[in-house]
Amino acid sequence: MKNIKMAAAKAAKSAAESALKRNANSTTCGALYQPKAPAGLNRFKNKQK
Amino acid sequence: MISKLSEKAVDVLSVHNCIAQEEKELYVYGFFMLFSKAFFLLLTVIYGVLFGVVLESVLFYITFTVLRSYAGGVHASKERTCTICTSLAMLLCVAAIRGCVKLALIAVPLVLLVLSTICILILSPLDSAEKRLMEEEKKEYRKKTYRITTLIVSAAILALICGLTRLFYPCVTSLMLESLLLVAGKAKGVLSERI
Repeated sequence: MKNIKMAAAKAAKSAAESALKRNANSTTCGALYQPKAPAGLNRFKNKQK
Repeated sequence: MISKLSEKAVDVLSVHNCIAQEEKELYVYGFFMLFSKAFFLLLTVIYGVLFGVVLESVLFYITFTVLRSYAGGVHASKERTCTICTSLAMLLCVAAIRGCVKLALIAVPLVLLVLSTICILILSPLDSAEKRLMEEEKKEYRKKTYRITTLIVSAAILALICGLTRLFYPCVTSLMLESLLLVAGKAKGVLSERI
């Protein structure tokens, strides 16, 4: 049971990272509200400036 | 609502030692992006079911979010305003698709397709105060917006030629909504500069 929970947590983290990567490499999010982008978002950019 | 859900998800992951304390803010942002897209997709599908245009609604949502991600546009200042406005915009767009299907309109959507495309090509990419772009990024995203717009316009024209009007309408609707958001974003920017 603990292993399943850990696997689910890792999958959720990975999904959030994919969303971060997509957002870091685009102009904005899909919805009408864009929260302030956190500073750490830069490390998800394809090209490091 | 989505922010609170994102915070809750990060708290759960923190309990499992998956996320470090200093990375919490970053992951809340990531989950917000994920949940907001899923929420509005689900909402658009529900509208599609209600109006009897499910496939068209899904196609509209996909083309719109892909285009919006690179073209940008106006943003609500508060999450609640965003949820209401986006929900309303999705409802109106799905209703517009339903109306076009029922009335079998061709000329009006064609004119809107041309006007929206011109707007998108001129105004994109439009960044926001919450996420500013560098010049290099603007150039890159402009190219991507042009490519995506060309793809959507080509798909729309091809669908029209092949008589697949049910695919033509979602493409036009997504271009139209994005162009409206770009115009609104530009107007908001100009007004805030004057004030």
